[in-house]
Amino acid sequence: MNTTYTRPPLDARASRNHRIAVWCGMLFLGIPLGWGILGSFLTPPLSPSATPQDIAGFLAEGGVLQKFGLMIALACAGGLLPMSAVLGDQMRRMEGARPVWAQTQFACATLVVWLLSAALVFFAAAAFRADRDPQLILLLHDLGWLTFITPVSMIVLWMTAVGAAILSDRGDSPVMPRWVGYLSIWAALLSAPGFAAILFHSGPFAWNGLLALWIPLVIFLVWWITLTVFLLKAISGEAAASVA
Amino acid sequence: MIAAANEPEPLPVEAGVWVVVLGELCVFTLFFITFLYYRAFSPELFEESRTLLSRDLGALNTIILLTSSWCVAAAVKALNVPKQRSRALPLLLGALGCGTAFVIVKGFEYSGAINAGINVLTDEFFMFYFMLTGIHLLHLLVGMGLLTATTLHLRSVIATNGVVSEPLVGFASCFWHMLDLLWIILFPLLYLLR
Repeated sequence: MNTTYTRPPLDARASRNHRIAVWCGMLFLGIPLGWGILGSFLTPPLSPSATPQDIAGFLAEGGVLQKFGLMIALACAGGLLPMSAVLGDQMRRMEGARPVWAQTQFACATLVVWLLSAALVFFAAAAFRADRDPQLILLLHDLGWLTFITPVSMIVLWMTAVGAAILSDRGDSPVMPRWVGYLSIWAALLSAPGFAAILFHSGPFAWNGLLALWIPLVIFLVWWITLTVFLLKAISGEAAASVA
Repeated sequence: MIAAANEPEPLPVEAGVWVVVLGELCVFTLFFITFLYYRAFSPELFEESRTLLSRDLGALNTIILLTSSWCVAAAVKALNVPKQRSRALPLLLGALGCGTAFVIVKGFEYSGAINAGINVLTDEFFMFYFMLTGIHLLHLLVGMGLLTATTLHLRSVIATNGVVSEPLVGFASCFWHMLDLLWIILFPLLYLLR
C-alpha cells in the first residue's frame, strides 16, 4: 500500500457496500447461462457458414425460452460495473495519489458492458421477428456475433490496466498478490486473437472456433473469478487495517 | 552446492512470472494440437502448401531468435556481477536488434507470400501459418516492448548507480526465452513437418 497520500478508512458501512458491489459482478454469469445455455447460442454456436434458413430455423425453434434467456443476459450485463468500481478503488491503493490505470479500467469495463449489451440486442432483434427475410436474419446474427467477439481492444486494455496496476504496487503489503497481475497480462495476451473472427467462415479462428471463442471465454472467466476472490480479500484486509 | 562458490547467485525470478510463461505454453500447445488435428484430415493439402514456404527464411529467423536469447541470457548473467553491470546494455541492444531483424524477415516472408497470391484465406494450412506466426509476432512485439523498458531502466540505473528492478528484468528475460521456445516449436511444425 502506498502511504504517500491519505486515504479515508474503510469503515463498516463502506466495507459492506464494497462487498455488495463485488458480488454484483456475479450477475455476469447470467450472460453465459441466459444467452449461452437458455438461449442455446453456445450449445453449440451456429457456424458463420450456416445458411440463412438454418439461422431462421434456429431462432424460430428457440421460441419464448430463447427470448427469456436473452432477457436474463441483458438484465445481468451491467453487474460488471459495480464490481469494476470497487476494482478501481482498490487499484487507487496500488497506484497512489495519481491513478491512471484505475480510470482506464473503469472506462474499459463500461465499454465491455455496452458492447455485450449491443451484441445481445442484435440477437434479440433477430429473434424478435424470426419470420422476416432470412437474409436480414443472417445480417443480425452476424452483427451479434461480430460485436461479441471482435472488439478486443477494450477487453485487452482492461486486463492490461489491471495487470499494470497490480505490478506497479510497490507497497510493503501489496493489495493483491503479484501473480494476479501476471495472470492479467497472460489473459490480455491471449484474448487478442478474437479480432481475426472477421476473416473466417469456419475453422478454429472463426467465431464458433476453439481459438477465437472458447479459449478467450474460459480465460475471461478464470480472470474474472480470480479478481472477485482477491477483491473480497483486499476489502477484508483494508477493513481490518482501518479498525486497527 | 560447492561449485556455486565462485558463481554469483542469479537474480531471482518472481514465481508469478511462471503464470504467464506456463499459461502461454498451455494455450500455444492447444494451438499446436489444433493444427495437427486439422492436418490429419487433409495431409496432402498441408504438405503441398508447406512446400511453398521459404524454409531458408524460417531457419534464418530461428538463428536470429536463438542469438537474441543468448544475448538476453548473457545480459542477465552480467547483471549478477556489480562490476559487469554496464555490459548488459549492449547485450540487450543486441537482443533488440535481433528482434527487429526477426520482424523484418517476417515482413519479407509475408510480402513474398502475398505477392505470390497467397493469403490467410488461401487454404487451411495458410490460415494456420498466418494466424500462428501472426500471434507469435504480436507476442514478440510485446516482448520487444519489455526489453526496451528494461534497457531504459538499466541505463538510468547504471547512470545513477541505483538498484536493478528484479521483477522487470526477470519478467522481460523469461518472456523473451518463452518467445524463442515457442518459435522453436512453431518452425518445425509449420516449415519442416512432412
